[in-house]
Amino acid sequence: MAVKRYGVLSLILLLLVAWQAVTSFFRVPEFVFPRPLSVARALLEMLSNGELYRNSIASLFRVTWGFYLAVATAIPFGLFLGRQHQLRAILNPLIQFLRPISPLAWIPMALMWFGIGDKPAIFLIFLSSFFPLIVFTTSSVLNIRTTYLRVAENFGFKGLRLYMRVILPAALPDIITALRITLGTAWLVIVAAEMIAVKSGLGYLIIDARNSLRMDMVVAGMVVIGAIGLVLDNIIRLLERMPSVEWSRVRR
Amino acid sequence: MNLVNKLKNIRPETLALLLAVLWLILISVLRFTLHSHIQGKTRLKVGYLPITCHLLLPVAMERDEFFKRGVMPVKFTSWPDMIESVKGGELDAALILAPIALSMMDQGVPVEIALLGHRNGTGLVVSSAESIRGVRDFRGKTVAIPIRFSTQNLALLTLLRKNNVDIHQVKRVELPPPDMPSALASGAIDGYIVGEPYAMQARVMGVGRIFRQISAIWPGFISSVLIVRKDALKKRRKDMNALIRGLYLQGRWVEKNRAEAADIAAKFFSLSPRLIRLVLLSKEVSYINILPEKSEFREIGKKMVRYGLLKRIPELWIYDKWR
Repeated sequence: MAVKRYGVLSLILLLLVAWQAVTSFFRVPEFVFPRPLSVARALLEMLSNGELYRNSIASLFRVTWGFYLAVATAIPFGLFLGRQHQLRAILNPLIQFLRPISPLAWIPMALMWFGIGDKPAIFLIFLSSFFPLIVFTTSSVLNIRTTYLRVAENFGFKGLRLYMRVILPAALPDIITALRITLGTAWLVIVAAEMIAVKSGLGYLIIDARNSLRMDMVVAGMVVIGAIGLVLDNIIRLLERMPSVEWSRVRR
Repeated sequence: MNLVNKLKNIRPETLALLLAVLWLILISVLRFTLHSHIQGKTRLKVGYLPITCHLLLPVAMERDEFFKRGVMPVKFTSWPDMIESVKGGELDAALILAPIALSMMDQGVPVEIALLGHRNGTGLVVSSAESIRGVRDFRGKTVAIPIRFSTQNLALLTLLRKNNVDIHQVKRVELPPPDMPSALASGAIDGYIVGEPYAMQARVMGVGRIFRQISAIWPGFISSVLIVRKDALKKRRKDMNALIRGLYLQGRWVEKNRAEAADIAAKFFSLSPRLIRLVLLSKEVSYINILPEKSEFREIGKKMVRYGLLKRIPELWIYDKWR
């Protein structure tokens, strides 16, 4: 662990030094690529005036709601669809048609339907997670070993009990992996969505800094987005360590 | 059993679910305590962009009592977003490019033109690296415009046409104004035409020079106009009139107090005060004579039809009952 930690830290330090050295040596103008020191100054400035805190909260709020809404609808639906072969055959083409449409393509519509503010952004996050989650959940149900289902059948498990006791636990490891992937996408999309659909948040911070010709703040915003993304990923990784999820790794 | 022991006995799945719910509550509470002050429902929402053509709005926010309590400025970063917010009825009024306003009228969006943002205040910039001396030198070059539906685009096309340059020999690209100076510096474009302060910005950065001020191409040039939604006019005529009148009167003040107005706007737009001062003190912008005339918009409409931006000149709606 210690080796890994020092390795990561020294890599970051090395990159910072290289960044500073290259930009100073080639005299890259600040408006093309700002120096690490001015980025650090911009970070401090945004920390002290509360901009960073306020905008991070706004972004996290939207991601939370959009992502939760998607989880709450897509997972039950996906579990259900995984068992309904005929319905799946009918719905699958539609889902596969809607899924590759980037949530960003919905921006004009989202703006007109929901106005400006949180709602369009939440809608876009929801879209970015909903379709992938359905697909992942459905396929995780299809991947359940038939032995489990046969045994459950022999014991007379039916209806809700079958879902709660057999299907969900069996599919859970794959679903958790799906959550991790879609949360990453959601965080990716929020920044892009906030560049257009709202007036606050980290994406807005970046576009606003750019309009004010403050490249140092643009890069500072990028640093914060990356850091929060890393934290989010680490939190959701904790879920993979739950016994009810970890068993699948042992099996493999 | 104390709480710690109880927590230890909880299944991890339950704990995860519990924490997820707590997080949802926490983030929602934080969000609404931080942002409750901007939920002004009764205020008139006015869209704008941080450009000197929209300078009367910050000045009025600073100096006019009605604006302080009755107007909520909504900052945009691009024209398309503002267009959708006007169409969706999110905004009561907006400062928007004149050709966009005309195209909205053509599409049946219920808006009327109440005021001009300002006059002139646009520059055609060329790279200091390029040897563009005359209009004919633009042949084969790339010039950036803010958006097709801008009088800047129409002015560029008019200039080329007057000098017998085939407009297809000049490559026009749409770029967000803040990106133009750096695009010029990197050599991606050879010139651009844009509203202030982004023309002045190229000079400050030392990457370009003004090839021609707009007043030399199109005297009395109109960039943005204040549009008002008809439903808002119907419901809240008194407030709307106060909005228009307030902006109009600030124009007279700005004309005489340019440095002070520049500082107010720079702070509001979070742009460099030096830059805005340079623009305003150059006297290339004017905030008087901003009452809209139908004939001028017919002229803009004619140009839009000529260059394929409109099929026909729509019925023009000018709101003047506030005067």
